[in-house]
Amino acid sequence: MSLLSAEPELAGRLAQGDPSAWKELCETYGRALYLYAYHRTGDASGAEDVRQETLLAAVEGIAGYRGEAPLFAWLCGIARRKAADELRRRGRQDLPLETADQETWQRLEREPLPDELVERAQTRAAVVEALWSLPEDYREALLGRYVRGEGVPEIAARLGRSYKAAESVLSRAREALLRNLNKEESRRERRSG
Amino acid sequence: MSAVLDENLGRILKSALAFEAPPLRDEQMWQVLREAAARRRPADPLPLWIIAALAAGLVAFTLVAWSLPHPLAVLKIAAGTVLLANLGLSPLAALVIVRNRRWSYAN
Repeated sequence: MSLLSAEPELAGRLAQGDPSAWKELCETYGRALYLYAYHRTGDASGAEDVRQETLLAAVEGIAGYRGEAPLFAWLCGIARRKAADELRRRGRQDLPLETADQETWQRLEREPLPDELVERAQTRAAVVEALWSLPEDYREALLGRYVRGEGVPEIAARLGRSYKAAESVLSRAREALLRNLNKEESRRERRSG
Repeated sequence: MSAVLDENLGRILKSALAFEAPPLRDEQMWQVLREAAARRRPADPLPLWIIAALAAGLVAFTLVAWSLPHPLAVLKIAAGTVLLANLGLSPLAALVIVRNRRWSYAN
């Protein structure tokens, strides 16, 4: 059973306050949520705080989750608001400082952070959201191919599928990821304008 | 980002996952689990005895109404209507109650 097809059952257990379901959620999405929060806040301590606040807010608000979006996308919605609160508390805008390179730091001495860098960090956050909103086998196929540099035979072995099936999963995963990214882009455009 | 092309996927994914994200620390996990456990309530059994008592009351009311003399036929009709309506709507009401309870656990 893929992670997404198991989500309604997991969401039901989460809503009932089942601690084992919450443990499963933390273990499944904890790291990805940190990545998302990191790209949103721009530093490690902000990411830790936002992740924790997000999970606690999720415990409180799980009754409001109706399963219209993947669980991770719902968590990212909470994390986005928590990150904005965190940045407001610190009295700065959406600045991904730790992700800045040397040249950017030098430019920061002279001028405000360029929108381009903010945009880039938001794009990375969107990529994390899009990737972890995919079924697990899709995500594994994409990570294998594009991050670990594996070929189709290795991906097939990892997924326990035939060569042909792995090729097909990879192709569908690519399409699904691009679809998710475009959806996120549209959402951002609606929010900003 | 609509111009995201397949060949850029590798670059985009690598930059988004460029560092190792730590798992939740034990105390963070426990805090979440404590919060979840604090909100957990045992599933209240549907109060079947209340439904049974109401149904018994309605049946008794209907029987009494039926045993009355002819001029009180209106009462018979009312009792029969209430009984039939109750039988029809009870399963629906029970379903609504159970669903509401399930969603209110986390509140």
